[in-house]
Amino acid sequence: MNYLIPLMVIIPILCALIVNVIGEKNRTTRLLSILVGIAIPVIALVAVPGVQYFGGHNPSLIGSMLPASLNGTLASMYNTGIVYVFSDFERIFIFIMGLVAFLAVLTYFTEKKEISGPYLYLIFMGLAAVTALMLSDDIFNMYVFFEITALAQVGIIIATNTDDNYEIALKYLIIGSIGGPMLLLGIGFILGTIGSLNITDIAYVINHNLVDPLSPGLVIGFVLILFGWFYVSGLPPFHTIKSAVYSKARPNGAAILQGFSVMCMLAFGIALIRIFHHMPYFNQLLVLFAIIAMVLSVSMAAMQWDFRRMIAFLAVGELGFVALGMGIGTELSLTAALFQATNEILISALLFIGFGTVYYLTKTSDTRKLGGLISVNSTMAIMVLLGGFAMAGVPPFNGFMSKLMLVQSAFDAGYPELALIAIFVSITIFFTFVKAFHTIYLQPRPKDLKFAHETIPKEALFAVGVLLVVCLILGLCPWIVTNVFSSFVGGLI
Amino acid sequence: MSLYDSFLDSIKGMRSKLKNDPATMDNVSGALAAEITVIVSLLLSALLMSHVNMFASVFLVIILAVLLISNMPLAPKIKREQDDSLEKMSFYIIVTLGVLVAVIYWGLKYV
Repeated sequence: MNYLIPLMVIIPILCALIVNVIGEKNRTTRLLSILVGIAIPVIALVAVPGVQYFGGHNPSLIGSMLPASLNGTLASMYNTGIVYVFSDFERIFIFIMGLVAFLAVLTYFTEKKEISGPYLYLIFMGLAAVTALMLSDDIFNMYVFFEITALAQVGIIIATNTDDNYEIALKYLIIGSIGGPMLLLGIGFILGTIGSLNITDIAYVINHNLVDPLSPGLVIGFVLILFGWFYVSGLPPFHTIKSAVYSKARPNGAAILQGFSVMCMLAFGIALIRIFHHMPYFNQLLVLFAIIAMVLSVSMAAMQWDFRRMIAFLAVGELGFVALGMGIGTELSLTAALFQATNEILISALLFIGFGTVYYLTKTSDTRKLGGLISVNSTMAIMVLLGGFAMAGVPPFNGFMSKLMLVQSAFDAGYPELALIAIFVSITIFFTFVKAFHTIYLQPRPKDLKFAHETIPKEALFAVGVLLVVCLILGLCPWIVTNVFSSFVGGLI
Repeated sequence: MSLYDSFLDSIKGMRSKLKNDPATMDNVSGALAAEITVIVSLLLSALLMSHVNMFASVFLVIILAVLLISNMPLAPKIKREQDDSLEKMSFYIIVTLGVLVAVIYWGLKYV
């Protein structure tokens, strides 16, 4: 048994509980948080791929103990307990999410002298929840962990203490009261039709025609889970509230929140593909909502004054590229989608933390009141500029490689229109980013601009530097992750 | 009132409006970029229909062209519809759910 698999979930939960209790003891809390922040990516790197059957419910072992009348039946093959699956695919995402969480926690410590135990509790609970989401092969278990993530997200916004944060948190809860129950209802329909919550079992039953693949229960389950997936990911019509959520969090909080959304999107997206790939119009629906997400979010980003809201919309728009790759549905496009998701976690975190230093210095995110900040710290400005290039898909960064793969896959699949839309949206992202960069860093500094801090924390420079190096490495050597994604996708379709 | 006075009043009115909503290079270029992105993406999406039916695609492009030209500028309308108002967000969420359920649940009967 590989104990490191469940430990990837248990350790952050334990850390969350402890820092919540000892939050006021600054040194101990900081030390513990940093240790756990380092431990999660390290465990993800060293853990051996395997399967964890909770409660010992391994069907191949308990099958012999069943009554003779059940031998050889479908019921004897079902996974009756919760199963965690850990492969190189999960390793990559848990490592990257762990790295982003560590860097975000590190920058949080420099922002606040008095750290908050409950705030760190929410971060670690969210980290544990998204890790469990990636590992779990049980769709109800995934739903439970998603709800924990959603509550952690709301808590992180409330703990932020910015303008209107309570209002946005309340709106997210209200909107969530539509999206979450629909997802649960869809899972209920699947359970009612198939009799199992294990995704492998559900896919087996459908693929072997043991139930009618277009039975009303499965069809309505598909619709509701698809709708729930839009909510989980922040795809339209949930893109406005998702971008509002990111923009109201602290920069380090926003870096983590967008990572949570990408992880949730991937976990449920892969479950959707495994269970419902046979549904008519499945791919077309994904492509339709991907286009709407890309176009609306990036257009909204281009018209923003508030740079935090601008990055938030760009981050949501980038998820449209992930959905586009899933929607095209070929091996290359799915590989590109997974690569794009990896890059989205890294690049958005870089930009949230990098631009977060502007807010740290001036306590404003209104670009009309900013200017000339390149003179404060030119290194940070250049790193943010390169991060923006990575997001827009400029070589040699990782964003270029994943978008190039997406465009190639659209051409190969016979849809040059999709490739052109992706290129146009990338050009708008580039324009939006350059406009914001010029306004904040290059145009003359307004005379009435006041500074809350004189310098940028070294930890923020370190965090952005590390993320930029990872982006560059993945841009120059994409095969580090694409080989893993390609073989994962080969088993998926 | 003489013609001169009414002309002066209209200038003053325009100036006071500009004071409240100054148009700068930044917001005009942002709105233009958004406008072009939306138009190009809509037309390319309409061309996607050619994989199903060429005539439907041509018809859709013509309809879109008329709608787009008669509704310009689109960017401010898109921005207005996507503010943080709970009513608008709930409206679009419920409409999407309704359309998805109706189209897929009943539509699949004819596949």
